[in-house]
Amino acid sequence: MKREFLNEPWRKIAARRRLLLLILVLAPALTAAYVMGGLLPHKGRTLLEASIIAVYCVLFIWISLGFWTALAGFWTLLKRDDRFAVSRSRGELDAPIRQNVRTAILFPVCNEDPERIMAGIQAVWRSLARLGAADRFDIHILSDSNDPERWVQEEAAWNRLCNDLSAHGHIFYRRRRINLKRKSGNVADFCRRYGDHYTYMIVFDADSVMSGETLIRMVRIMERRRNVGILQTAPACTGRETFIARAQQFANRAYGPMYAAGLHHWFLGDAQFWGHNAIIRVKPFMKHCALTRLPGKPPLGGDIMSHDFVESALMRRAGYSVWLAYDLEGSYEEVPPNLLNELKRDRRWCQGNLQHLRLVFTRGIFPGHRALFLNGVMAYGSALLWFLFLALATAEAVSEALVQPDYFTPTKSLFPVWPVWDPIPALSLLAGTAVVLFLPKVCALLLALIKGRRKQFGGFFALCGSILTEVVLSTLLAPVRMLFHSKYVFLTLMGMGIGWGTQQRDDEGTSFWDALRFHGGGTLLALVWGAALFQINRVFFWWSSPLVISLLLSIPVSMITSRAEVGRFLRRLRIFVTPEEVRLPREYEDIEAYLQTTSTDRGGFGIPSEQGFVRAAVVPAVNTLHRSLLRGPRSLAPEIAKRRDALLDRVLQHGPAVLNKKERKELLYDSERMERLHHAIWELPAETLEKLWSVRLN
Amino acid sequence: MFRPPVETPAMLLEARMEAAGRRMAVYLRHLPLPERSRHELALAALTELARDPGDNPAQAEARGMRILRGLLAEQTPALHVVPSPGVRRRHMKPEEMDRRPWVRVYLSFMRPLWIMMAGFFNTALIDFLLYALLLAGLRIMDLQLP
Repeated sequence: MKREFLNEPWRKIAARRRLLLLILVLAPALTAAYVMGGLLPHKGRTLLEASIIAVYCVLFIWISLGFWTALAGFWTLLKRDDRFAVSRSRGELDAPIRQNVRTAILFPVCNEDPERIMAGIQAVWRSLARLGAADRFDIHILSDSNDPERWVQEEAAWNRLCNDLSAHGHIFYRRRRINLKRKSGNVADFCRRYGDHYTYMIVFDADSVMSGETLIRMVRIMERRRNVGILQTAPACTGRETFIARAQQFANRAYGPMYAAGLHHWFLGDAQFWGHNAIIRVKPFMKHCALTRLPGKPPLGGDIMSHDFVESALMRRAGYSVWLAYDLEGSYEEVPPNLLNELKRDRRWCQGNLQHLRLVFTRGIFPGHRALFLNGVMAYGSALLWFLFLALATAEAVSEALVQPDYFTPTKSLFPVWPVWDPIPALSLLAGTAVVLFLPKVCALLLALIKGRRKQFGGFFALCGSILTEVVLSTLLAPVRMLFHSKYVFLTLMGMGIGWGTQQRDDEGTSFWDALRFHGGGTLLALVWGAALFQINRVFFWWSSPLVISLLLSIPVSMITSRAEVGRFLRRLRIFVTPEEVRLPREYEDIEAYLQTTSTDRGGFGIPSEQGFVRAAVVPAVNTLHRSLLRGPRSLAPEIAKRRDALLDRVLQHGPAVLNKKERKELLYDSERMERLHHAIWELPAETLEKLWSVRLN
Repeated sequence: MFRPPVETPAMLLEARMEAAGRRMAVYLRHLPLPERSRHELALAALTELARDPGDNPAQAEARGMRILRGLLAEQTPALHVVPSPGVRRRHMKPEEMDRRPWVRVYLSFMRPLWIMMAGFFNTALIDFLLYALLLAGLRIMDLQLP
């Protein structure tokens, strides 16, 4: 395997740092495991207790990793200068962008709200235009939408955007007929067709936004450092108003930079790609990062779902470095609006990450990326381990309560052996775990104060209040997430896959029935578990009560946290205020303005834009546009032509309501029949036109 | 005394013509055409319709739309749409991903051994070996060759 750009100076430093991390993580975990062993009644000598200690040790390693990452990030951000920061120019200026360098901005979309996507695109485009750099960039909307209504809606929205911005020839739209390999396949399809036009591509998510300054800066960094294959930014979460989303936005803005800087500290040029808000060098990406299928059936086989981790590992394997530009501002994304959506997203991610278990030993992958694969697996696997720990601890507590203690040892003695339990080590262990979990939050507070950023979070008291509220909320939600993640890991390992659906990207509250459907099982489990523990072992019940209470409250918590009005109320109290809420970025101002203009637009005979098929059939401009974007006339097999003619007759006779999604899509693929349908509709009598197709001529 | 208006064929046709004109105007308004072209097309279509209104006045609107379509076919609406840059097709082939290197290591030992054995079994040497084994067996059992 030919590799480029090896022997880079940072590699030795990274190796030393990772060795240090290993010691820092393993030493306390082994100590904690030793203390835990001493706390158990049989001092870890039974199989059950040995399992408890082993699981606890792994879990402690996992939380320690987060702790040391946060502390490393705290130290990195505290320093005035980070000599390994990829954005650091060491006195020299960023390289100017060469004349022939062109950058593609990719927006892979799949059934998301087209108006929101176009709003984001226009914000990015306007931001670039303000800097006079728009001619260096092209935007590609890569649609995988399979909903016929969304398809037409996307086309119309794209055309209007291009007209508004006079950006025809710079903003492109392409929809794939066959959605092979989902997002990674979509990007690969772009690379195969148009990748040769571009030196770099910047991959966005449907809800991503980046400022023009950041985009240009990223290209310049790539120009200066030709050995960088992927440059990932740390996106700031913003744009949502629900309680849970605002809490996550706050956590992302308060603690996120510290964790990002920490990841950078440990991984340097072996960082990972998160799938969006990152710039990629196209040529090596095409050469080295094509993804193969894993042998076997989904969920652990088939297409690689969490492609981003694998792509960064492959890029690194080829010798190009992958950096996290933790200090680049102006990169934004959105979080799921409610807990249910977050959990749905997690199910997809869980499946994707568990696939990486099969890639850990791939030849040529750098150890840092093997560790990142395992890190991704543990992100969800840790939940199952936690669940296992609780189950084992409960079994131990129950057995201790039910089994009569043995007061007399086999050796003859005058005195009985009383079971003694010293609470001091238990409390020390609890305190140690609490420090590992909560010290990063204190560090984040200190950092905000030292760096003079407290006003960006609403002031000192607002910041403290936000951190406290976030701690309470995350404590309430942790057991719920644990339960769901455990289920996902278990189902995936059992071979039960899931679809890769569309994300809900609007602030919609969770209804009682939805919450009951999702959290009913968890609530019931907590009820049974809590009642059993209360009856059998009262002491252990009180130790477990935070978990039991969280699960019992999961239905109301899920509903309340999904409410935008609660989020707005908290904003009035200055809780969870983020820098973006204090000062709305210019790009988001543009998005809001654009969405306002489109929400009032009822063009196309008052037919709502959501009725894409009807608009494509009725509205002349939409019909013409749709047909012009289809491939030219095609010869059809007689049975297909006959079927489509029958569909056409049916829709003309009874209106669009008689066609299902599949039939609508079939007609939309047929340019000739769409033209015939359009003409036939406009020859209908006025009453029929209004009744069947909602067209009012007066 | 109120007398309802008598609908003469001429009045009916006039009403239909008016409806056809309205339909054409609405249709043209939703096409990406300059205003002047829209007016010219509507006028031309209506003139054509007035010259030959057809036999059935009830079909005047449909007929008008057919005439308009014919005129539009001559003057294709200017739709400046560029959905993509020119295609420059390149391949993107996955590199080998050896996910189980221990299998490769095992095979790297075993394969030459297997090939060597297969080579040995394919030569006359195997006959010598088998004959020697036969003799050794007979010797052990204290038997003589027949």
